[in-house]
Amino acid sequence: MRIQFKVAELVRGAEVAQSVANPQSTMPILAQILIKGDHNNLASLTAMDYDVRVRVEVPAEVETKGQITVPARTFYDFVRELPSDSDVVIETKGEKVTVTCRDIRGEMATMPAEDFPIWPEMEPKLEFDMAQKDLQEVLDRVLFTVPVRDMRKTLLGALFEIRKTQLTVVGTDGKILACARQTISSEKPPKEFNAIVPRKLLEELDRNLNDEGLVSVAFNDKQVSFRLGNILYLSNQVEGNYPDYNQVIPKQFARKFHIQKPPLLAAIRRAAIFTDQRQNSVMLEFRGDKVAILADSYDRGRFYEELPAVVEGGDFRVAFNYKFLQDVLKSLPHEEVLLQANQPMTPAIWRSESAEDCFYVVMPVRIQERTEVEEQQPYDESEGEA
Amino acid sequence: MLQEHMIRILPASLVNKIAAGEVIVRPASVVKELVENAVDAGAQRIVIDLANSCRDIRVRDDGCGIAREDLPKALLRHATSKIERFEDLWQLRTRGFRGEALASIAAVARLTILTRQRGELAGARLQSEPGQEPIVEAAGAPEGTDVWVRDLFFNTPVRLKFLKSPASELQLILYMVTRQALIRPDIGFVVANERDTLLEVPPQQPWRDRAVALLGMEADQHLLSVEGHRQGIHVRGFAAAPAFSRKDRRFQYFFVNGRPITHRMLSNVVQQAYKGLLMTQRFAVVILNIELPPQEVDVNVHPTKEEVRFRNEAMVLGVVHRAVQESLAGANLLPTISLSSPPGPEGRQDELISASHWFAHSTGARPTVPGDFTQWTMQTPSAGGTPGEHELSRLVAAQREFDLAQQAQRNQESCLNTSVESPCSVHPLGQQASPEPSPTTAQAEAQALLLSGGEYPEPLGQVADCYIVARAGENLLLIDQHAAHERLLYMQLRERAQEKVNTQPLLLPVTVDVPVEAVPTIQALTREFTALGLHVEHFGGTTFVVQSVPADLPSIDVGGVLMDVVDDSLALGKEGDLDSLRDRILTRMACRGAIKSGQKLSLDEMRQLVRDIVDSRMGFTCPHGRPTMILLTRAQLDRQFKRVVS
Repeated sequence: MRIQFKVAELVRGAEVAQSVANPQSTMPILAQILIKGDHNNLASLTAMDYDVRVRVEVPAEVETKGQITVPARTFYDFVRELPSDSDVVIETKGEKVTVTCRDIRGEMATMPAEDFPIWPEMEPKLEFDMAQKDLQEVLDRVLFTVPVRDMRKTLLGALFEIRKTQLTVVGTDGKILACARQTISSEKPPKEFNAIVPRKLLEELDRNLNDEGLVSVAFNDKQVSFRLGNILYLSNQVEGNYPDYNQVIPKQFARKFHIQKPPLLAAIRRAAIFTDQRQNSVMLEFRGDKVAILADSYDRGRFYEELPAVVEGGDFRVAFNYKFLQDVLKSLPHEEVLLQANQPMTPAIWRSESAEDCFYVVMPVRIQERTEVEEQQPYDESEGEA
Repeated sequence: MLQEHMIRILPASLVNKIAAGEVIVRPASVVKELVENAVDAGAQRIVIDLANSCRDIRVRDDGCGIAREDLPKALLRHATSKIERFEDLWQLRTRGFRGEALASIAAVARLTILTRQRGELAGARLQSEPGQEPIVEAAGAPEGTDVWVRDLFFNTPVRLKFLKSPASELQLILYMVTRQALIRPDIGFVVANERDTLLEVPPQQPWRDRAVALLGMEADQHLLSVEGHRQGIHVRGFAAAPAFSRKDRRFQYFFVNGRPITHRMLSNVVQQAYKGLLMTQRFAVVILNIELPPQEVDVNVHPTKEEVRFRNEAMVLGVVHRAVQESLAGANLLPTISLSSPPGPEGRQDELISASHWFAHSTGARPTVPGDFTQWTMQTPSAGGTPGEHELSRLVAAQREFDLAQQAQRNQESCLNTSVESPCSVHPLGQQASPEPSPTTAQAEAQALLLSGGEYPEPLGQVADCYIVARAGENLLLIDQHAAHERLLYMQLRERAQEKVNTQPLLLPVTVDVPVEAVPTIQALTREFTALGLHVEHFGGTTFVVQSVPADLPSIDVGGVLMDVVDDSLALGKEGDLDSLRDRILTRMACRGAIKSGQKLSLDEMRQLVRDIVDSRMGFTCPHGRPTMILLTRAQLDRQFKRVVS
């Protein structure tokens, strides 16, 4: 096999592929990238993990057809260091593969290409397109709520729920739930379709989506694929039923609070300085036309800040994990945010003032177990100090 | 028929046999009673010779001896020199007081006593057969008392039949003597079976040396001194570092006013003080003497005086708990790797010779000690017996064999129980230099090593996504990321268990299915879980629902915690008291909430972990008792690379 690439194009392809390859795998072949040249001017780089697979097509001059595997990390690290404006030739010599660029030559061990798992062909049941930018936006809003580890396997991915031309993506770790909506374009929009897309695939997508162009999405009952330009991702879906998220979304609210986002986010950041691992929550206290942001911890002291707010439904105190708040506020669009709540211990919703397409259901933190009367005290004190 | 049901007064011989059954249940009881008598007699040396499957027992001492005119009374029941009035029971300073020992022994064995009082010219001999009047006559004897018991239980065939194997009887005797020897370092002890010396310790040893001699040389690096007192209660002794733990409680030696006792609550309290430092099913090694006014303790609870009652048990337990805990908290428990080979036989031999030497050379070396044991032989005082002399070389060989066997057993134990201890003998720092480092110096030493130049160790990277490699000044620090984080969480949780907890209610509660036999346990533990921030509700059947998690452990694997606790409680069975289960919950929560082995960490994460663990006071082992970090000092590295020759 002998294939010639432009260095820049090869680096781009190798980057996408090596990110999927898994050096920790018990199957050594999964730490390899398969380079395949079977057309005259197109080569493909393929990498696989247990669930996620990627194939990148890279323009190339295939001088001798064939296929070869290269160790993903070494290969990528090497080609990345080649002069980006030159050509590079990959060829097999016996058991070795050599990568030559001008006077630079690297030689690495290879594994039999026949051992590389076969790319599973997929029969799509549902296909649609959407702007890469839109998918990116959805992922930015949802991905941080999808846990890396959880006993409940179904939570280890995001729910893709399609109702006609509306895509709803949901992620939750059991304490915070993100919900983001986008419109899709499909020739045959389905009445109803659900699938859980694994976190790792979403991470890979998030890294490679662009502001322009379309992404073609395809589902069947077991698999999902995303094609963005010359990159094709194919993955198994997470098996099982996603929890009925609609159940945890409150439908009616007794209280509504309107706050300017940038000052609130800044206040939360400041408050976070006064929290520690044990006291990792901040208290929001709405009173009159103000919201007080409070934090305290044994080690670091106390914090108090007041911001203007529009309070509907009376005075209210509620505490949240400050990390959740930061993440939520960072990813909510628009300058004004809305907190909808009922009781200090029931789920609350954070959303953008004017946007219906994204919201978060956040479970408040229960600050110690005291009666309501007792609960007033520490914060009354702190208010006095402030 | 009527005749058989008549009430009779039993003959004295039968009464004695029955009574003997309470005190003399096995050869070890004989040894115990005789050794206690010897100790009470102010002996400096006590030699115990065993033969005939431990049924022949001879205990010789150089104590005050018995006056010839008192000798006939010695075998009478309730004849004693140790108390006069009932009130004396509350002021006891002696081991014995009932006046039952010799009478009981005489009822079940042939007995010869040869004795000479200190300062008297002539001695006396008593010979007794069960059921017969003892014969007392004048005889030449060394100063002290020599009691020879033969054919134990020959007239009680049932008891004889129920004796355990000679080996286990011997083991019990050794255990018994060890307990006495541990608390009386001023007295020399020798135990020989069929003329093989099994145990030998010189008189006038420093207490710590005595403890090391009896627990094995390895103990030398691990014994921390314990001291505490409150309101007239003094606790003194030693507690071994967690690395020197054992798999049962036999190595927890308790003494009250110098009297060896067993006390379940004391043992529990000690385990509690070690909580979090020992792996499960491992038991701390301690030697603790509790001194308190004699009227504060009742030793007359059990015929063998094994058990005692304290007037103010809670206070005593409290003092012990605090003393042990302070000793551990102050100690440097940071393990280091010993890359050098373990101490060779040369060093060992030196120790042995010095340990045995007193015997051969005592006359010259220690003029204060009366008598010359080397002259003593196993001769029958009346009939001139056969046994020969103790030879130094034999003693040394026997002792070495014994020690090596112990060592082998120890190694085996440690291999079986943990792979951590064996491959590169991990031992705590700071106890090699001085025999009893004060807690503060040990702590300072650990701090100095870890915080070179006032800086926290700097993490260099991760090995196998499992260990953090850090530079601590010129030393190399290896940290088990999971164990270290687990330790931190455990300490946080423990601290927090005292106070109210912020909880993070779950949007999506977690359901957990448990084995049916675990349902009552979890129901019983609901309050404990709640106190720790886990709201567990019974959903019906075998299903539980977790409604909230501790706010500071939002990503804890609740199902895993619940299952672990269930497993623990099933394994513990009925013995699992609520308190230990509560601690297990903490341990499991820490484990499930901690960074996993195999998890990649950023340098910042590593830095934080290193800082936290160095700042923590007792962070050198994880809650399961595994070490969290290992330190390779510059000196060790140098030696290993042969830059310096050790």
